[in-house]
Amino acid sequence: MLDNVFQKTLRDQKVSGAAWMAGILAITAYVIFLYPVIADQADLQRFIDELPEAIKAIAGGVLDYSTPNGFLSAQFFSMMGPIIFIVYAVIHGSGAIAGEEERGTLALLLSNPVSRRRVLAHKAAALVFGITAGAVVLWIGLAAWSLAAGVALRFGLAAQGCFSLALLGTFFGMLALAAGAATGRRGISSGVAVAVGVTTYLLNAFAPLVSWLEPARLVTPFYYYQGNEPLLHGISFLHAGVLIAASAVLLGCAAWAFERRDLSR
Amino acid sequence: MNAVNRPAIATEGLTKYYGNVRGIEGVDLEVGRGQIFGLLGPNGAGKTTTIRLLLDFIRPTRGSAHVLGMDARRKSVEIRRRAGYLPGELAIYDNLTGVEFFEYVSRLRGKVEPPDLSAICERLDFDTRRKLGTLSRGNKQKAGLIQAIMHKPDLLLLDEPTSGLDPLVQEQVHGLLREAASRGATVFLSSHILSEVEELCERVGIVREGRMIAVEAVDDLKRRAVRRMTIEFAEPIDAATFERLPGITEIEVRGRQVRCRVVGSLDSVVKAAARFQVENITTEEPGLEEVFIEYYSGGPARNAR
Repeated sequence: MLDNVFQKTLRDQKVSGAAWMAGILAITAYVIFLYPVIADQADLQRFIDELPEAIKAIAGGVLDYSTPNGFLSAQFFSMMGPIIFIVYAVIHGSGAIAGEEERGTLALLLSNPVSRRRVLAHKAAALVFGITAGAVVLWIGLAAWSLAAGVALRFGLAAQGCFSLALLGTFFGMLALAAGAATGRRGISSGVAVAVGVTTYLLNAFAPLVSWLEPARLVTPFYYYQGNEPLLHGISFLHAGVLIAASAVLLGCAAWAFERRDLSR
Repeated sequence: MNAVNRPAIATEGLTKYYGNVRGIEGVDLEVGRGQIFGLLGPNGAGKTTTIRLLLDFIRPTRGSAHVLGMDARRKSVEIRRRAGYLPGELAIYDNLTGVEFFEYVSRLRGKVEPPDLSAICERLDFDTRRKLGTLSRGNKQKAGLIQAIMHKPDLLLLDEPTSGLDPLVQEQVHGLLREAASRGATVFLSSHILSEVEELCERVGIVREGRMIAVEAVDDLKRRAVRRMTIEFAEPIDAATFERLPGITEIEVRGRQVRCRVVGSLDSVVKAAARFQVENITTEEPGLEEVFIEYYSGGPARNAR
């Protein structure tokens, strides 16, 4: 059905979305089936404990391989997961307005009686929907493969990790959406989002090692994503709230900028 | 005056600069309801800028525009509810079929599919089952026209509507637009082809370098149309035959052939020629530039501003 911009946007992502979710299922299978192999190697945790702090930091901070949740937190949720979700979010966030504008179909869409704000709201909703669906599939994959492999994953905490990842993805999706809505340029939009992503990832990873840099963690989305180690301790409402609020502010900026500018094509 | 009686389009000093680049400058325009109005000018003259301003895609640097009696800026959604638009450089959803595309546009307008959609598609010989991405430029153009016209809007804003269409289809499109006008819709189209505007429109605005240099009835335009005419006679002819005829200049006689430039009606030239045995007459459509030269060389009074 093509009743509105939301449905049209999701329909356009049918193939890419399905591929993305299949990829998530494949990666979760790899990570979960890898766990029993790693857990059997008693020496590994001792080896990890002796690693320099800088190595641990870039690999994701706390490296606790003694439980499935600890292993997942370090092996998947610290780097691979964010990359998968941020890439998806940035591709679709920058495509939402800027992509349609560069293809030239935005003028045709906006010649209908729909306000710019409405188009933006629908595009943002489709973006959040896609990211959330990915997070749900991620949890289903982790849970299903854990059952199949006999891994004692704590499902509730895993769900909170997936939720936190969805929030991180949403933040970067909204960042790309806002940059695209403000400029109409897909390249600028994804460039800004990726630059912010890489910078804040490194800042969050290394700030704890440098005393004067430590407070800087508080401005990185990664801190609010994983600072509380949701896979081990559950999500912090405060941290989740910060990511949600930041995403909402970005969406507000997107609406503000989009409303005020000339369409480029 | 209530909104219904106001002109379909009214602009006051409408000006648009893109940074330092001129879009249009001080355009004052009034288009009455039910008219077919043509915006004539070469590429880059500001035709597309004008249409995009009316649809609030871009915002004026100065001046204002009212469409269907409503402020183009503040009432844009309401205006677009009652307007149909065809972009000049049409980009369309390549992954949709015609059926899906028209359904989508209908839903965005909060309507079910228009009942006479299939009739319009049939008239334009448009295959709605194919993916739009697989269509030729001309067929995509048809899809763009159909979505603009199918919901019977009060105002059609068409940017170069017949570009890329073969003459037969152009004729059908002209028919559809005349029908729209006859049921009371206003048609505002841009073109860089004089003959199209002459054939279709009642009034024409001539734009050049961002300025509206003249607005007048097509009949007046025709009265002053410039044509180059070549007449071949059966035997050599005397140039004096054609001299002093009204509107005729630049007479060139080469044996049996006479070439000249005629402004307005061809009647006197044809009648003068008919006294001899004529083998062939050809007339050349004047280029836009020639029309403009006419306006620049202090032609007849202009009522543009």
